Amino acid sequence: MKSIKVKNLSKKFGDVTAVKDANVKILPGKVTGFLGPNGAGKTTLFHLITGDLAPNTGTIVLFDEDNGNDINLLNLKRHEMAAVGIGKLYQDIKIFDNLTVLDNIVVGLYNEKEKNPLWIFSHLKDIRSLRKSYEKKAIEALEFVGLYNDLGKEIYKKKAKELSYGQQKLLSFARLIGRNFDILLLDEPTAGVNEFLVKKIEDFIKETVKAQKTVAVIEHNVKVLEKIADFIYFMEDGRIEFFGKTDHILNNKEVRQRYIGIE
Amino acid sequence: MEYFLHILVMIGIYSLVAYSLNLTMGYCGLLNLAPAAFYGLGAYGFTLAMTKGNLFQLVPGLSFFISLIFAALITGIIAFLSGIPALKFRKDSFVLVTLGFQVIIFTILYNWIAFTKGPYGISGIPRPDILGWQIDALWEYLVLIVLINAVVLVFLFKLYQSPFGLSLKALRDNEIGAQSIGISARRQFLRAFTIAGAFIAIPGALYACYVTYIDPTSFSLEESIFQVVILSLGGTGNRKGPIIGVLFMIILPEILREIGLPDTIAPNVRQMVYGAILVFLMFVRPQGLWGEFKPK
Repeated sequence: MKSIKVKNLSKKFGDVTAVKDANVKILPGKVTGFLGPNGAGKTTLFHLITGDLAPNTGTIVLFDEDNGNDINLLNLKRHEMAAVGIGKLYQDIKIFDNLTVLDNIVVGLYNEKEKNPLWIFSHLKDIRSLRKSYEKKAIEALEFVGLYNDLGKEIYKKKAKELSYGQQKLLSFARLIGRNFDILLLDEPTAGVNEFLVKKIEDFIKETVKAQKTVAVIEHNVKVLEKIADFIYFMEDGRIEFFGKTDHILNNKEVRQRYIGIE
Repeated sequence: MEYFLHILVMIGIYSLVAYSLNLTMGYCGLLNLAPAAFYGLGAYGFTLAMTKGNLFQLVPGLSFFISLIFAALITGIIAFLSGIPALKFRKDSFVLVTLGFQVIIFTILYNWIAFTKGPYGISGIPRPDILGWQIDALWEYLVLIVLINAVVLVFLFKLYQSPFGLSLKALRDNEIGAQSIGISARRQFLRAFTIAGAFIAIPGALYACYVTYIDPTSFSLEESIFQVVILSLGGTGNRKGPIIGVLFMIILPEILREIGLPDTIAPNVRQMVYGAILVFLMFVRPQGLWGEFKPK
């Protein structure tokens, strides 16, 4: 299992400090929730972890319990995060509009060698069977999120931009499932989706940790966090204000006043 | 009949241009304003190899192909080197950087007289001689162009369908999303830019030995815009769009010629008709006549 340790992390945008001296552990095999008002620095913290932004100070280390290896994430570029097992769901989904539903997942399954332009010319015979095996994986991921039941054979032809917002969100989940990441960072996974999909997303997160994976989730919906999170970090004004077990944080008087009370 | 064959030869040359450029413009979504510069480098690289490079005459009967490959390699290397700084940018900034390359390469071709003969141009470029088959007649040239199209397009179409092509489309649609699943934008775009540069040199070389005379004005910004317009009209990101654009842009002037406008105003009217069609198309079909991808 893998975990992430963030130490003394800070990020400034001009005069505004978005993240102040944050110390965070995303614990292995657990769901770590991030709660706080808008502008608290939660998304910036995720962006710093996944290389979307560079911090001003601090360290971010990925620890692999299975082999005892440490990887300094500050040395990695955004596309290298996937190779070390970190997957991210962005708030604005980031699907590939003009690719088919199936290709949205298949494209992430090819390894570095297979993505070399010359590779295909030495594997003209294998390409079809390789593609079939990746399609099978992609269909499994689409089945898991329920999109295959909705769309059936249309997944081969329908472009992602033709899906509804909820379906696009499920597709972005399927893309993460297809890649089988060890650590998932989910930025507001239930925002803008209906109750039925919220339940599906909760189930997906529970299944993910059951499979020895690690999940970090930014979530405004306290009811969702209550059901899925093992631990919660409460952030405000770029600072980590509270950390603890979910029930402990959600029952904390100050957290209730500052966040839940004003919700 | 000669006239008809000439039109077919030009369609063959521009089909190679369009399908090469399709890799960056359609698959990467990067608007490159320097295609004519790379097309010109192909023409000059080939010409210099054929006329000055004794080395290329070493294998009798194959100097045409060796020079063609040399032109593609040299242009590919230059495209790679220009891609390194250009691909630090996206959107408008990328367009401006490639415009810069177009201007620089054109200026070099125009002013490096010792090498390119500058505005005087290079004449007497030998017609292809392939293992004793001296290509002189138009129909022979057409056969050669069709054969080269067959080989190049099979290669490019395989590339379009390959995992590499799919990864370019993902980057085009959402660069951050594609990076988050492990696709390196810099690496894949640089590869595409290099391959497109190398392949666009081939029609450049074919053009040079077809007209047997080249000068830098054939590879100006105006030519780059013409090549970009071919793709904008036809559409990009698939196999159908580019050829539709080529047919449209090569045949349309011939149709306009038939209208019988006076010679003094005909070229200007043609330019205005192109412009008007482009404006109209951007309103009703921004992805081009048969394109898959709508530029943002």
